[in-house]
Amino acid sequence: MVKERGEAMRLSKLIKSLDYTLLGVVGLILVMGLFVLQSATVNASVRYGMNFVARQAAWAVVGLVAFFCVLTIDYSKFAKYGKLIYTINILLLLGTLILGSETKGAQAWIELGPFKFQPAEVAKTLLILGLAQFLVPRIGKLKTFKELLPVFIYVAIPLLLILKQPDLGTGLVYVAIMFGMLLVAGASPGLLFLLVGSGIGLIALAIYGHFAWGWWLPLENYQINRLIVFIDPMIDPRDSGWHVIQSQIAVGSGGLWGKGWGMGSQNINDFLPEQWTDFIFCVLAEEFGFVGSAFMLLLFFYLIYRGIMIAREAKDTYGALIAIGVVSMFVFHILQNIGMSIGIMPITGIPLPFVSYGGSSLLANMIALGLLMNVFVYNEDRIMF
Amino acid sequence: MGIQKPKTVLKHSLNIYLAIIIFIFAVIFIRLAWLQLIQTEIYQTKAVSNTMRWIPVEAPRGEILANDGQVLVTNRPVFNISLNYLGLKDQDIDKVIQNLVVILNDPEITVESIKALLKGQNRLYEPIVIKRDASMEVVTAIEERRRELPGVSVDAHPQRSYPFGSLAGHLLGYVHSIKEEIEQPGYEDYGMNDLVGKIGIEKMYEHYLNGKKGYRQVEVTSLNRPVREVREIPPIPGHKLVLTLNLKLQQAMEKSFDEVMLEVQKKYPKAKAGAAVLLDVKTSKVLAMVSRPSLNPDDFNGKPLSQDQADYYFRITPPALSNRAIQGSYVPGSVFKPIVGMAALSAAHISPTEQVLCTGQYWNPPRIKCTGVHGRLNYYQAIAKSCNVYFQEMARRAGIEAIGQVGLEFGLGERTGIDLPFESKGILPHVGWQEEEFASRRESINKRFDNKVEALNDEYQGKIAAAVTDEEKKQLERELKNKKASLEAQRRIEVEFNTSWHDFDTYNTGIGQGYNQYTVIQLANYVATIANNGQRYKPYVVEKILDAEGNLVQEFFPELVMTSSLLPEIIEETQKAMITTSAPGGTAYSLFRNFPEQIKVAAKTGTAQPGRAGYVKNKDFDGLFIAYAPADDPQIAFAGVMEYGNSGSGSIGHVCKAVFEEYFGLNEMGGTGTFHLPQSANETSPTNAGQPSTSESEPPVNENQSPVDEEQPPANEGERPVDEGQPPVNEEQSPTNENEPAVNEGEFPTNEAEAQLPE
Repeated sequence: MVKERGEAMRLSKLIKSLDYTLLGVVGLILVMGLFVLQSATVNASVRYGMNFVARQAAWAVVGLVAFFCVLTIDYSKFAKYGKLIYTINILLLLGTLILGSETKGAQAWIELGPFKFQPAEVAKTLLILGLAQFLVPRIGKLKTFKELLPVFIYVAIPLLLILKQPDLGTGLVYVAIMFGMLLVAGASPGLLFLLVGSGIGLIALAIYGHFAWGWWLPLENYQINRLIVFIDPMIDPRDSGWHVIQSQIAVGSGGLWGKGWGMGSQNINDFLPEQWTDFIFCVLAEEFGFVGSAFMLLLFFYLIYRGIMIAREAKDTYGALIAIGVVSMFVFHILQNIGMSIGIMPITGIPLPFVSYGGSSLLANMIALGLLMNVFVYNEDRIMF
Repeated sequence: MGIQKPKTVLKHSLNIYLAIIIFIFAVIFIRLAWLQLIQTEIYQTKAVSNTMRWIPVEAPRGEILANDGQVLVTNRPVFNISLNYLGLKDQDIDKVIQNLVVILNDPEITVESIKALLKGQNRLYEPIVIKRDASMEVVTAIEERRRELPGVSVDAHPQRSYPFGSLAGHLLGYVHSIKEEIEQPGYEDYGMNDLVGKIGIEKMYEHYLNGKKGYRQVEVTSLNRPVREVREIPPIPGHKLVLTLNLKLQQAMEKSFDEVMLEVQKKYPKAKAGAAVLLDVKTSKVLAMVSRPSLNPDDFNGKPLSQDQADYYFRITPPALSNRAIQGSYVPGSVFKPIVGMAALSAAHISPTEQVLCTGQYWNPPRIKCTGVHGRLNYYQAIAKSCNVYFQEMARRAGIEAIGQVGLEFGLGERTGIDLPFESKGILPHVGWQEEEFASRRESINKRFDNKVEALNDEYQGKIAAAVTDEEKKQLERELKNKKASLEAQRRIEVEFNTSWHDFDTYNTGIGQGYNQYTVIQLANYVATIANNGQRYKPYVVEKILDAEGNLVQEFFPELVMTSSLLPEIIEETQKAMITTSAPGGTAYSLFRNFPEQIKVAAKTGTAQPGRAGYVKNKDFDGLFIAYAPADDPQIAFAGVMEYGNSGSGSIGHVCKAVFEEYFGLNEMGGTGTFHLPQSANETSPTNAGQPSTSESEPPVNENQSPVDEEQPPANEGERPVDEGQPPVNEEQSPTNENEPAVNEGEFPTNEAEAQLPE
């Protein structure tokens, strides 16, 4: 009884101490996302005979539950299970490769009864938790490449499993999370920039070599095309280039005020590929114009900014690194998804957090948000247990 | 414990992190503003062109009406049954197709064939035609079962239709798929599947008849699936044309042309082609125009020709495609003589009563024979009897320059400017033409000789090289030099002969042979100009252009091209002479002798050696005829030719007669006699009761088929008019009568080739 009352008190205290501005901003993003989703699935809902918006809303509820579940346990308790988390992560990804069902050329799904579930989405949060713990003892000792090497190996193992699916997009998210966390953990920014720069340079060289001299690459041709069409859509104007062209037409034709909800011709007439997932930002930009898209961007910026502030105020470096891991994941998703819609990033199938349709993604993002909130809540300045 | 405040190093790196984040968001923000605020118009245009499709809606082509409003060319609605995705998208497609197949009841249209059509169509926003030109029963059945057939539409699609069949087919022209026109200016709005006028009025007035396409704007998806119709811009129907053509006269002319030709063919099987034109004298409006073999515009009409049709129109002789009234150039023969007469009266100041003695052959070489021995005759008699001697002499006296001058004034050798395409120019051998002709001949002769010289050089080069001794070599060089000199001499002679105008050229011109070649429309306009006292108008076919509602868009009025510089008396004398032609003793007497007194016909007959490929010398002759009436108040002018008709009055003259009868309403009173080709001169000679002369008869086809013109057999000199005291002209030059009179001669001496290259 006493214990139960204590639990209830703890919960009510917990709820009182949440960052409601952050929650409100995410809620706003979610609701806006549902409106956009409604418009983006006008045709698809008929074609596939399902209500995307209702499903997404249901997943949001599931996500909210998960969010609170994550909140109930102080994140610092995860610290000692770092190795276990890492192992679970690897097993999960291995299991996906072995048991997963194939969809659109990627073995990324595990079916649990009626639900299809993408382990890679959840694996991102597991990576953050594991890596944060891995980095804490190394803070201040990440000045040379040699010191960085163990971190790279640590990330490389799950990364290779992801790439094996193959899921290039999620793989890149791993890399982004790693670099974000490394930077904050005190790795030399110059060294990181050098690494990122030379990495991009190497990829460019490899792609050039592939086309010029027939180098072998561990990627399918369509994936390589997607990587480079954003530079010149005419390389492949029918397939990947088509997406680049049509998405920019959608965004650009939205103008200042947009064409109105459900009135985007690019959206309604299916000129956008899978506009309810990867290209949902185009629908927003087309129908709600610059006003709508800039407002959404502002909301995202606030989310990120709050994330950084939470990291700054975290009670320990472990918490700060978790917060930065989550923030880095969000940032990369936002940059990559919006970037490809407006033609400044290559096309990779990465969803826009809280907006793109997809249960696993939404669930993973709610869990990540839960982690962020966890770092915020379990701070001695705020709450004493 | 494990609680540890973030270190300062963490704070420092978080600042760098924040800066990077701000940078990333700024880049996204700026790019968004660039696309959505600055470049938005470009992308809006692209978005619209992405989704909007314009489907053309055909405009009905303008009708063509005869002068009295009778419709000559109209449009027939052809019903096409189509499936329209706009209506189909939410329906059970299979069921609709099944219903449609049952109604159409066409063994070639099955559910599978329709599905194959749908599959092959990538522009789903355009109606997919399932059946073309469906019958009325099918159309009705579909209309009755509309409810069961959503998405099925019956579209009336206008197609050219010709209520009078081949009537005036050449003049009206036909429409067919656009080809080389699409590159030409004025055809920018045309599509690759459009039909355009190819010949005749359909071509000439294409841009009035065509109208303007309408459009339906349809919004489509990325898969070209139509979503909704945005707007419709209705087509503007083409303008109507009202022609100068008189339906009754046209019908009469065509009917009689066919009848006469059929009759002539019995004796002259090669008579299969020809043309005739009837003009309004005061305005040169075209009242009727015929070309044979006939052309039925419906044979073309956007369809491919059958093998037989293609042969008929293009391959067999004579090909039917050509409008011989304006495109065919014919040797005029004697119908040219009034020009020569007027030139002599004007330039050589000949009195029309001055006489020339015809002994059956001209006295100047090449001594071209006459069609008879006419004795002394003046201008009137010479026209009436079409005396070759008289007109050779007149040509000599007038000179080719004067003849050319008069010919030009009467519109010969120049395009009349009629509003029909592909008009020929003909040939009037006036001085200007000669210069051009001679220059081109000089060039071709020189080329020929240059080649010969070159061949000679080559030959001797080899021989000289092969020569063994110097002696031999020198011998060969001498030979070469001599042969070259001989070639050069030949060249000089040939150039000299072929690039100068000879007297015999003038004589040939004088009787309408030689280089003379004119179109029927030129001849008709020339007669009309004589009838009109020298006022020459531009012939025209379209009188009015009306819009689809019948409002006047444009009206065409007679256009005076030229007033002849000849003295009015000279034209009057010629008119008189031409009246004499249809008077007793004249070559056209028999044709119009039953015409009432108040409708006198002025005429000139012609029989010409056509000189076209395939004609047999001294056997094949074209029949030509020009006439106007009434002589004292001219209203209509006729010109016509029947290829291989043997004589003018015996062939095409009968067409003229029939048309004149129609115009003056003479056939309503039983007509003036139907035409039967005489089997021989004797059989068909009319009884000459009450006639002052004994010698008028139907054009004699005489025993040995000698090419007598419609001219009389040897005239009875005793019955000729008195010569009014004029001394016989050129008696001292009278030919010695060593030759037989021309009538029974096997050789007809007006043959161009012989005449131009005398021994």
